[in-house]
Amino acid sequence: MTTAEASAGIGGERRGLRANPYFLLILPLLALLLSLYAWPMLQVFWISVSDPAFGLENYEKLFTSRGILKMLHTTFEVCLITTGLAMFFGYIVAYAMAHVTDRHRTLMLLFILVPFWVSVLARAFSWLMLLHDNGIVNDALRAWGITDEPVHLVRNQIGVYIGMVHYMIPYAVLPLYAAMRMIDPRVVSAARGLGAGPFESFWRVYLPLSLPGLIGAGVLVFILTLGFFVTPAILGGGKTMMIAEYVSVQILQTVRWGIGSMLAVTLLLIVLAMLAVMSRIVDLRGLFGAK
Amino acid sequence: MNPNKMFLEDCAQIAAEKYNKGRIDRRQLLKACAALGLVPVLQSGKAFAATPSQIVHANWGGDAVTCITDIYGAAFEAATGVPALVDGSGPLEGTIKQMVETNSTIWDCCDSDIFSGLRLGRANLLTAIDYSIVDRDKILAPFTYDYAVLGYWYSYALTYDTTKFDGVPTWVDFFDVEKYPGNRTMYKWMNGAPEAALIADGVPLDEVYPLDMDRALEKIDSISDHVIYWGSGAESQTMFLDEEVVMGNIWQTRATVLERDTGGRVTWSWDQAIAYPAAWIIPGNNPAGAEYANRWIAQMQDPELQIAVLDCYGQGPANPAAIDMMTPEQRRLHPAAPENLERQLVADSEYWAEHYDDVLNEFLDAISA
Repeated sequence: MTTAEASAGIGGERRGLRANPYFLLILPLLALLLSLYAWPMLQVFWISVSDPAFGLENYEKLFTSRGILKMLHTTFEVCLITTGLAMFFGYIVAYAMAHVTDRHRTLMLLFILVPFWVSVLARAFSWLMLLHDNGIVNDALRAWGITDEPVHLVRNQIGVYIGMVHYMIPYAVLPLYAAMRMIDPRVVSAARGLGAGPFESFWRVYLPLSLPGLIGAGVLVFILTLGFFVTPAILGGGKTMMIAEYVSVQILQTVRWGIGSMLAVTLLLIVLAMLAVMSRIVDLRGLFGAK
Repeated sequence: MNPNKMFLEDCAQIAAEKYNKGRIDRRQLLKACAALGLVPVLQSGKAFAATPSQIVHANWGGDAVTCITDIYGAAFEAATGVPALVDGSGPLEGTIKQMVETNSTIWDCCDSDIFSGLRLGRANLLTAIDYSIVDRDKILAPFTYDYAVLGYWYSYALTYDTTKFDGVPTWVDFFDVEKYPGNRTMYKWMNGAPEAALIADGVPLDEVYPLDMDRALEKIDSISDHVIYWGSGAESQTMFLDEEVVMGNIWQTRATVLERDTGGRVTWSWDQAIAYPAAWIIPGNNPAGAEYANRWIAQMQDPELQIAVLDCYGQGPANPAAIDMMTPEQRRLHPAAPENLERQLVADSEYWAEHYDDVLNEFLDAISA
């Protein structure tokens, strides 16, 4: 679907809504969201410009505080690399899912969804148990004579990536798979028939057709990684502090609510901006399963 | 007040409590008071302060929940009829601020640090300690403050795997990865770490505070690839049990458990450990009222109960009277036994109250990759 069609669709919907009495049915939910979500958000915003004094002093720190800049740098670096890895592996899995038999597809879906439902905490601790210096994996490596010294796989940045990529792969696979299902398999056959090799027909035909799904899934994964807290805290050995944990420290420990809420507002604005950009490129409603 | 009068009032108070709980009726109460020569203050049918339905004590979870409930809680309920409920979710400063400012305090007493008590007290978030109920004499001087009292002692002690060392390692060895390879662990939320770094760098114990943070962070940075940080006591324990670390700067409460669980493979040293005075504090607008919160703290001053808590999970008694009642083994585990305390650095709560937020941010910035 093209952008023009998508926006026309949304516009049409709006006109329909105004006249639709069923709209009243969502009013209670809207009231709930406004009172429990919008109002507290406004309070958070207020704290960010009023604690300790009224003004943009807290926002200035986004540019001047070395510590905050470093933390933001770490956050974006970890999120970008995680997104890249999750998209790479997710694409392969989704591609396979789109091309195997129904029975295999069901099985693959199961293997993707089961860890998806396991709590983030349980997953992080499982990785820790498997991968720590005297865990099963390192024991096996030593027993087979592959290494003498333990390979440090957790309590460092490698551990953070393992935990986060593993967590994000289902989020990459599902929208990618949805996008790939829409691609007419005959176009690849046509490319082959017209003389393109297997790689060329993928590179020049299949990949561009899956690009909206790729971008959509990428933005989705990136946005979700921005909020990671537990996984880096457990698997990073205390040395990878991302924005969510930093906010928690400022709220709960140093009690600098101004800075904490400023960072929370900044994070929210970044996410909204990304969603806005994404909505111009891909069909958001389709991506999140509204169709 | 003469002791006899105090005793009489105490009898009256007991009668009043019985009345409040409905064990005796109003007539019996008045009769008891008349017999004692006292006139009780009856406010809206209740004698003395209204008896709360419970006392909620907030601490940091783990064994502390059952130990505090079973020992102090049981004694308090026997004495006052008020049951104590322990909430182990962690009374962080930010949570206390949020509760007090929105007038939704659910805790009557919190397990905190003296420095946190000073910080929160200065921010007008606490109820002042009532020293007519809480006994100053049962607390080692000078650890009684307007808004906090010494609750117990704990230490950041050098804990080590005895199979990896010939003698007892020091902080100098801790920061020497050439001589003793292997990972070390320190507290992610900083306390104890900069102090140890400065001691290792040659700063005499009495000059550690005020902290020279640049120097401390440089020292920590010199071994950064060999340090993993623990964020919770349980995590520090796991690291030793899984042999992920050869030494650590961890709470002595965890070190004593490790010594027991590993049959002595892991042990700790009091030398140059950093002893922190922990605090009992009363958040503003606590639900049970100031009087009962103070009485709860007074209950926790009982030296015998404090020793029972030491046995239960290693919390070091704050009441100096407890020391003479201890067995040699109990003294060995107690951070503030004189022979142990004199070997340690006592944290400067005033320094931390003043600089905690800045220094913590500086520390976290430095240790983050």
